[in-house]
Amino acid sequence: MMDIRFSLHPTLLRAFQRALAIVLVLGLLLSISPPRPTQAESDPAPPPDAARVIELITSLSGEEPFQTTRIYDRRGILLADIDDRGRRTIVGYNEIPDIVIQATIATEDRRFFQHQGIDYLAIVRALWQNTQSETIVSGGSTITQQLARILFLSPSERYEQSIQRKLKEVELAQFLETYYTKEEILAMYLNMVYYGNQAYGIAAAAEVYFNKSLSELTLAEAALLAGLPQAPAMYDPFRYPERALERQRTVISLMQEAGFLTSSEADALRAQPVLFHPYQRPRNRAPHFVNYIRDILIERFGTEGIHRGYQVHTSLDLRYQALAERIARAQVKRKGKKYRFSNAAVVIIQPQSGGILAMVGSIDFNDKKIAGQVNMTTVPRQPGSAIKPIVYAAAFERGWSPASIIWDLPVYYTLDGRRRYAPRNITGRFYGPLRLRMALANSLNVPAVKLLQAIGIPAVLETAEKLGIKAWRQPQDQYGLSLAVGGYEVPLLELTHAFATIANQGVYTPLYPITEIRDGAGRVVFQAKPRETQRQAISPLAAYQLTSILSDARARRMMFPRPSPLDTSQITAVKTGTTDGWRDNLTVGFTSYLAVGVWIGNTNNKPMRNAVGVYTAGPIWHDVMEAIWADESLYDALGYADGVLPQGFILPPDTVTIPVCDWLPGKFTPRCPRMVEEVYPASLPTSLPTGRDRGYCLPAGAAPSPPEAYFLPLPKDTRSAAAARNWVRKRFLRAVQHLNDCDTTPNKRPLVKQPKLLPPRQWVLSAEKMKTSVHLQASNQYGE
Amino acid sequence: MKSAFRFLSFLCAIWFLAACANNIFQITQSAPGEIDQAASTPTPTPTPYYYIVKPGDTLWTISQKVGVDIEVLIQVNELSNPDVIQPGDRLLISKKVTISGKPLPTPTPTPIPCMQGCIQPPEGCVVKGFRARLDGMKLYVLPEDAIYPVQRGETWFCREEDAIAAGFVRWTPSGPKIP
Repeated sequence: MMDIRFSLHPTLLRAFQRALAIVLVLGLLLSISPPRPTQAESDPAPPPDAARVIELITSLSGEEPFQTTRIYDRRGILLADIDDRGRRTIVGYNEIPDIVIQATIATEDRRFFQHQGIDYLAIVRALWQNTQSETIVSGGSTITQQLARILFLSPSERYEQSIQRKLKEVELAQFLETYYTKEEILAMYLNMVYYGNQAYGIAAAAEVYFNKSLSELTLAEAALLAGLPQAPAMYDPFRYPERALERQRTVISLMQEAGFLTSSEADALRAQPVLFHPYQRPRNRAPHFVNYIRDILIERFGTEGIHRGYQVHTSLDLRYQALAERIARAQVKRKGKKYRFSNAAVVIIQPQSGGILAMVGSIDFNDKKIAGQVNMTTVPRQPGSAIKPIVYAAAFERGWSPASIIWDLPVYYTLDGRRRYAPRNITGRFYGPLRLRMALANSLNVPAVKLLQAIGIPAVLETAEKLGIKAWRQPQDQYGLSLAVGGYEVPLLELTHAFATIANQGVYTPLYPITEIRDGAGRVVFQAKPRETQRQAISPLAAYQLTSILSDARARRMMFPRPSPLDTSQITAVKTGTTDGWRDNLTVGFTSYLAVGVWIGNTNNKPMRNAVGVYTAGPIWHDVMEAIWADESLYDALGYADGVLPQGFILPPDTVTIPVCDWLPGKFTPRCPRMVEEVYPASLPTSLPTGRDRGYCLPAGAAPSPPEAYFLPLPKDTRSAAAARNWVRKRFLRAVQHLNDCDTTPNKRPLVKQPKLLPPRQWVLSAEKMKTSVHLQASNQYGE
Repeated sequence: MKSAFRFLSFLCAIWFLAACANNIFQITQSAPGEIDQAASTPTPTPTPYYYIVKPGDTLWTISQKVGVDIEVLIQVNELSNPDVIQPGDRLLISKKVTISGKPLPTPTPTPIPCMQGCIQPPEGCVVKGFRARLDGMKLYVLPEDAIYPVQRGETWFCREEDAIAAGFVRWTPSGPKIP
């Protein structure tokens, strides 16, 4: 019964009384007309569960009721609610405690279980009371009428005081009573009605005002909530607690009148204090990630569709998130002034599951000075040298190997017929013949550009796409040779994803930031299936070859002298990047179970000062890796709950290791200073170089060897070949002869002394023994 | 014979010295600080100065795309009512300032056609097909759709029928209707 006390203009009041009288008469007439279907009486529907309530409301009102969507981290910690339209969690009839039902019925509609939708007794009484007091004391609306109003009338119609509206309402209420059970009507009502403070439905109300689930509500609390729907703004417990408590007293009295409480119970209840525990929104501890998830949800379910009460379980681990954020912030604080950078971003990916464990889009979401709200892990930026492994991956896919030789000598390319592009190394020097291992490990630009030129831009674009880089979607002719040195923008997330694919033996797993989605009724609507969607992006051998180079601390010594943040306590593969004009610094690295990408720079693209990836982003990457290893309790998120992480990387089957002659960049001599082992497919290309492949013989290890092991070929094109020949002549004063037919028999080598064979590299690990920890000795081959 | 031997050892010595010199030279040359800055790019991506507003863009989506704080966008463009931006509006993204404090003459306005790495549609073809990042579902959107600009376009169609024939489902604000 309406219980709003406020004075009304006498004419309005009279109009209202007249309206009520007409309603009464018409209602009597209408109540006779629709007979209740016999089927409903003989076989009453069971009390509706949550799914049924949603179904009923959807079919009646024509749209699915909105509900709070919740986003959880991987361990079930609530990250954020999506409740822009209001908070609601739909519950089934049996989940609603009796005390709530009793309090509601006593307050709103005492004869709910007896009447047929219209309570004439109540209307008569309301009419009489209103006439007596000259104000509206109560209206005679039943719960069914109120539900009809909520379900069928538009918000503007709902509050209109007109005869037409009232008539429509009566008709609709009787329709509801005819086709639906009392439990269904009550369940719909308790889930739809507004309790104030964005709380729709009783479950949301319990949460908003008491931070409790329905079953935890006390009688006093239930009585308080039951009083709110009449005038949620007027009785707002947060703004007017004394009014809300007074209202609660009224509800208790009404419950007593209705016989739900004895007088002593009611007195005890009145004496009981009611404590409000306002619902605390979860502090958004991963705002960029939550926005990213929201984006994905909107993309699939639509802007309206996301308000369907989904339970979204994500791959994010708040412990990893907090760790990455703390380390990134500390580095910006420590080195930001020196190198003039103000922001950092970190992303951590689990390669086997495609899960994102952490996404730090900026060091402070709320800092406007650094445009903290911009997610720097998803904004495309130039990757610099960090892109080179993708180029090498494409090359290894096409028959090149880490031992293949490339000549680092001055070269230029003519672009669009006129401009010249002459790639240069960062040191400004050229290093002569190099094995690809040395070229990549020391991040030399000229060999990367030459390699790209040799294999072609389409090949690299194709490999990049397979590995997980989706940003390069322009037509192929839009890309130039600067692709090899990171001239084309890639988001950090995609770059790290590509590294994760390499870490996972070349097996691409789509990113699965969302692991599972359940709808409001608890049904699974989406489940991440990494195993079923994986595909081999590059061969396991190519992935291993890349990994072995990127984890070869010996090979990169020339450019990355000790102590370097790239050297970690466990075996890792890593690459840094620095872009033109010191704008972006990157370090992306991985183990077999973890890929971490770090970006450092200024969101507004302002150049830094003399900042190179290894000393700005490198320490963040290093510290994140070490912090994860140091805490065994974190290993469960990586799939190793037993506390033992695998070491190194898996050597693919059907491969052989062969010693090849090796030298430091720029220090080539025909007498090999040392031999190192390279991995080759078991089916070796063993054809001997022919007379046309001009070049120099090198000492070989054991036969059979691939030609590149004992033969240093000159470049194919004549201009480069001449430059290469000159380079050799200048250095070796014609001491070296061209040998067109290198003799590979062990005792007939062209040079006198067989050089010492280095012990196996750090990264070599026996296959399928991922879990066995391998003891490794630090080796000291380069005389450090 | 002897002189030949002397000559050879002389050659060897020179070679040795040259090698040594080379080594020393290299050690002094490898500056550890400067590592891997990418070489100058022949086709550099132009620094964005202006952004042309596309249908469905909001300041928020633009700020995400261009990596500039929404507040900055409002301030720099002196937007009196940031809720109202029209397709075709030109938004200043970055201002180049000379040492004297005078803004540089702006180069030819460079619209950023596809910041997210999407492909330009063929003339008159605006039906954009994409795969949802959640589950790879094939969906298509039309320019009036709210999410139209933020999608990474994958496939362009000139008519809706073509998209449907290719297995794409219409995206709607309340989620795609699956036939």
